[in-house]
Parts: sequence; C-alpha cells; structure tokens
Amino acid sequence: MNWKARLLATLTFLGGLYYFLDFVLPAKLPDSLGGYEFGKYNQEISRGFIAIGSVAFALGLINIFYIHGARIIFRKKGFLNSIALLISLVAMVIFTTNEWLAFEQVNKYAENIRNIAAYSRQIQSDLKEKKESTRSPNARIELLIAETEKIIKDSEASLSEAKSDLPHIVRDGLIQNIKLVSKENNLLKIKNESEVAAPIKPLDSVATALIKLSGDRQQLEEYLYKSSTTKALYDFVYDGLFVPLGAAMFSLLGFYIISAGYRAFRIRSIESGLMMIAAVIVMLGQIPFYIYVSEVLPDLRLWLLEYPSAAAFRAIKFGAAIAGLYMAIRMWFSIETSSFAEDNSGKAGANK
Amino acid sequence: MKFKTLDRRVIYLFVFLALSWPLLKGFSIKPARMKSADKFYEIVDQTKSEPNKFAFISFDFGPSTKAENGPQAEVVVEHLMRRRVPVVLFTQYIQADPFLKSIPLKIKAALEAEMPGQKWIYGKDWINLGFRPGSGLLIQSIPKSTNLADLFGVDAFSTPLKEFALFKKPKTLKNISLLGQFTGLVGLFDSYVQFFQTTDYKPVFGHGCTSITIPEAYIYLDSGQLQGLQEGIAGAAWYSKRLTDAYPNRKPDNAILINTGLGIAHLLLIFLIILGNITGLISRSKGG
Repeated sequence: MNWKARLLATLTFLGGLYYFLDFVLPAKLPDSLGGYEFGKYNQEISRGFIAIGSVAFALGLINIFYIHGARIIFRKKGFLNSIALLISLVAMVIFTTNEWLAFEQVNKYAENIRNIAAYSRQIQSDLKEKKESTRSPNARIELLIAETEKIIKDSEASLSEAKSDLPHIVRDGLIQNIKLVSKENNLLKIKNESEVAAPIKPLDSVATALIKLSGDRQQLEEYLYKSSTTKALYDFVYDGLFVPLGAAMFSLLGFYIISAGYRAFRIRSIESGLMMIAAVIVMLGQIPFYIYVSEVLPDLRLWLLEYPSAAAFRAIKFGAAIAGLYMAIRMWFSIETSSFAEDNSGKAGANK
Repeated sequence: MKFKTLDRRVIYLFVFLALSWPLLKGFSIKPARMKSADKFYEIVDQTKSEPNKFAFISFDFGPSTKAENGPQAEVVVEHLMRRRVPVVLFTQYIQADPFLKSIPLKIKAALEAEMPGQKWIYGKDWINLGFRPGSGLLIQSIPKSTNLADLFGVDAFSTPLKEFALFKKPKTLKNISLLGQFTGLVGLFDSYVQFFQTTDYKPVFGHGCTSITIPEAYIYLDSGQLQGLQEGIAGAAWYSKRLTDAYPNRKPDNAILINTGLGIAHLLLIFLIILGNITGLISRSKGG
C-alpha cells in the first residue's frame, strides 16, 4: 500500500468513526469522559461537504467544455447538439447569476436599514449599561443621524424611480414611514444638540421607525426587482423553458408506459396473469371510474398495497439495507479498491 | 390484424387526447376514496393553531414531479393556512426553490378572495426558509438544535429569523407540531423517517409521494412511522375533495381535473392491454 492509499484509508476510517460515534453515543459525553459534544461541528462539516460538492460542479463544467468543445472544434458527429448544449449552459449561468445578484440587491437595502436600527438600539443599550466606547455617545448619535438621513434620501429617490403602477398600499406605507423616520431623526438631532447627556428615549423611536421603513423598503425593492428586465429574462428561461421542459421529460414516461403496456404486457404464464390482474385492480381502484366496475375496488387495491406489496417491498428494503451496510463497512475499512490502490505491477491508479 | 402493428404514434395521440380533454373542457369526476389521504387530512385537521407551534413543510420536488407533488403540497399548505397554523417552508432540492415562493402566494390570493377582510401575512402565517444544502446532515442537525433560529439564521429573503414573532423565543423540534414532506426522491424521504425525531419527541408526519414510489411509502404507513400519505395525484384529488366538503366556498383546484385526465389515460391503458392480449392470443392460435 503506497502512502497516498494509506492516507486515504486513514482519513476514510476516521471520518467513518466520527459519524459512527456521533450516531451511537449521547449528544454530550459525561464530564468524566471529557464532556465532548458530538454534532458540535456538524454545521462546519456540512459546509465542507458543500465546498467539496461545489468543486465537483466546477470539475463537471470543465469536463463538459472539454468534451463538447473538442466535438465542436473538430466537427465530430453531433457537434450541433454540443453547440446547443454549451449555448444553453452559458445562457442559463448568465441569467441565473444576474437574477441572483439582483435579488441580493433587493435584500441589501432593507438589511442596511435594519443594521442602522440595530446600531441605534446598541447605542441605547450601551448608554443604559454605561458601557465605554471608542467614540463619545454624542458622536455615535451624530453618526446615526447622518446614516438615517442618507437612508431617507435614498428611499425618496427609489420611490420617485418607481412607476405609477406601484401598489398604493406600498407607496402610502413608504411615504408615511419616510415621514416618521424623518420626524424621529429630527427629534433626536434636536435633543442631541440641546442636551448635554446623550438622549436615550428618542433612540428607541428612531430604531422602531427604521424597522417599519425596512419592511416597506423591502416591498418597494421587490416590486422594482419583479418589474426588471433581469427578472423577466430569468422567468422566461426558468418558468418558461426549464419548468415545462422538465415536466415534459417526465410526462413522456406516461406515453411510453401506455405504448409499452399495449406491446409487451402479454399473459404468457400464470405469474404474468396474476401480475396483470393485480395491476388492473390497482389502476382501477385509484381512478374515479372504479364506481362503474365495482365499489370494492379501492379496498381491494388497498389490501394489495398493504399486504403482498408491502411485504415484498420490506424484503427488498431489508436486503438493500444489509447490502448497504456491507458496502459501508467495506468502504469504511478501505477494503474496496480505490484510485490510489496499487495493482500487481505496483503502479498506482490501476483498478483491480 | 391491423391492431397487431398499431403505430405507436396513434397510441400517443389517444394518450394526449385522454389527458388534455378533461383539462380543456373542465370535465371532472369525483375522485376515488383514498384512505391514506384521509389519514393525512385528519392529522392536518387535528393540528391546533397554538402559540409557539408550527408546521414544518418540505417541498423536495422539481418541475419533473410538480404535476403530482405540486397539488399535494398546495392542498396541505392551504389546509394549514385556513386553520391559521403557521407554516415554515423549506427545501433540500434546489429546483423546488421557486415553488416555495409561488405556492403560498397563490394560496394567500385564493383565500383572501374567498374571505374578504381576512389577511394572510408573510412572517406570521408562513415563513420561507428557502433551499438549504446539507441533505441528511442538515436533517440530523434539526432534532439536535437548541434553537432553530440559530441553525437556519435567516429566511429566503435574508431576514433574520429572530425578527419574526414565531422565532423570538428559542424553538426546537418540540415546537414542530406537524411535518409534511412532498417528494418523488426516495433518498430524501428516508432521511426524514430516520432522523427527524428525538428519543422523546416525534412530530406527526405526513408524506406526499409520486405514483412510482407509492409501494415504498406504504411500508412506513403500515409501520406507523408515517401518519398520513398522499398517493400521487389521486391522493391530492381526494384531499382536495375533502377540503371542498369542509369549506364549501372554496374554488376547485386542478387536482381533481388532472386526476380525471389520468383516470381516462388509465382506462385507455387497460383497454390497450386487453386489446394487445386478444390480438396476441389470436395471432398465437393462428400460429403467428
């Protein structure tokens, strides 16, 4: 066994051991055994899996470009299909990325407002608890006032950008809350300038008004996003092409099954006869027209599913589970041949 | 013996007509009674609208199985929203993400049109967690979490979950009164059966499957690991009928129409199997 194979086998064993222990041991070990909490790092591990999955996607993309690019360049058989595939792939990536960026922008404005509201509450809490900060309380409030003024101007500009078909409930709410934030901010400004001690109460009013505004701002940005060309293009490729094509691919099964049923479902033995009778009962028992044949059909269907079919499926599931366990143990202990295993000639990478 | 060499395109044409005619004409027939869907209906109907409790609904389906899983998910979410049980929507399947946004909005519009003066509000009546990667590992994290708002962080629109009244106080698996999962992917469904529970608590579990995976889902219904099941579009149609019976002002949805079309297609299939066997028998008796 070469060092690469040994390293892989060790890592595989340790990974398997972690999940085995995570499953069989309590969530937290007793303090006498170290008090370790299993599952504490599951989220980080799960992120690691996502990262590895993303690398696999990237490798897949490179592979697609490599294989289909070569087919197009050398004009091999089916190169037109390859052109269609690559154009669709690139177009989908562009449209989806654009949509994702636009959607991120939608949340950015509301999130910014919520952050300013949180800052206001933080100043208020620090003042109550008399916590020290690098800036003086009055300076922090001045910064808050300036940021809130920016939000007001920005929201007014966005509102004027919106077309007249903006739902009146959104427009009215936004106008009302811009006025409210402006009023509370001015009040805070006056108090901050006139009082020696930093004002606490108006900070809460500003934060509450900002939270209200963030909801309306989110709705406005969603409206602007929904009426944007980016969203229209995304809807065209996703809802207009991808969804119906996906559904059409699956629905073709129905056509093939019926055609195959006519051609291949022939009674040639007792077993195939029993199978056909069962199939007909199950089909008739779940369609609205059973009533014209017999009222007991749904019950017969249910009996078939609950007894003979469930028994057979249980056996299949048990068999598959035992086979899965066997495979898992073989993989855990690296008994399966791997890419780095040596063949008889001592060369790495050969399959045994 | 023209039937023996029947062109498959003729069969396709008949299938197309069988499926599309009820949809185009709006023709529907009362669906067959599905006892498993009855059980699903009952568990949703018995779910109380309590403070700090919510239903956790996972849409793990894409465009390919939307025709079956879509109506199933719609009727259950509608039922929960009618009963004012807060719904937290989630998916582990990236292609379901658009449905998490569109389905509750469609239901909200229908309910508000049916009951003028009543409102269903995002954040109060439903929350969309969006697509979450992590598969089985994430499902295992849910029962272990001491605060689901910390585990998920934000909703699909980047709003921190702690800003919603439902998540102001820490929520765990024990706050989930009902789990609903809709998929045609057996592997995803299995991870809920295995891991969505603690040693002392397991939410009531209802599942919507495609017609292909019905036999597999039955073993869990029989063992009591599932308390309700919607079998393909037939299950959704029966559930929809039960909803209409309970709420007479409700406008009929597509489930019953699609189920009628599928019923006609099934009749066509049975007819063709019988025809195929008769022609085969005649052919064999003639030594063909």
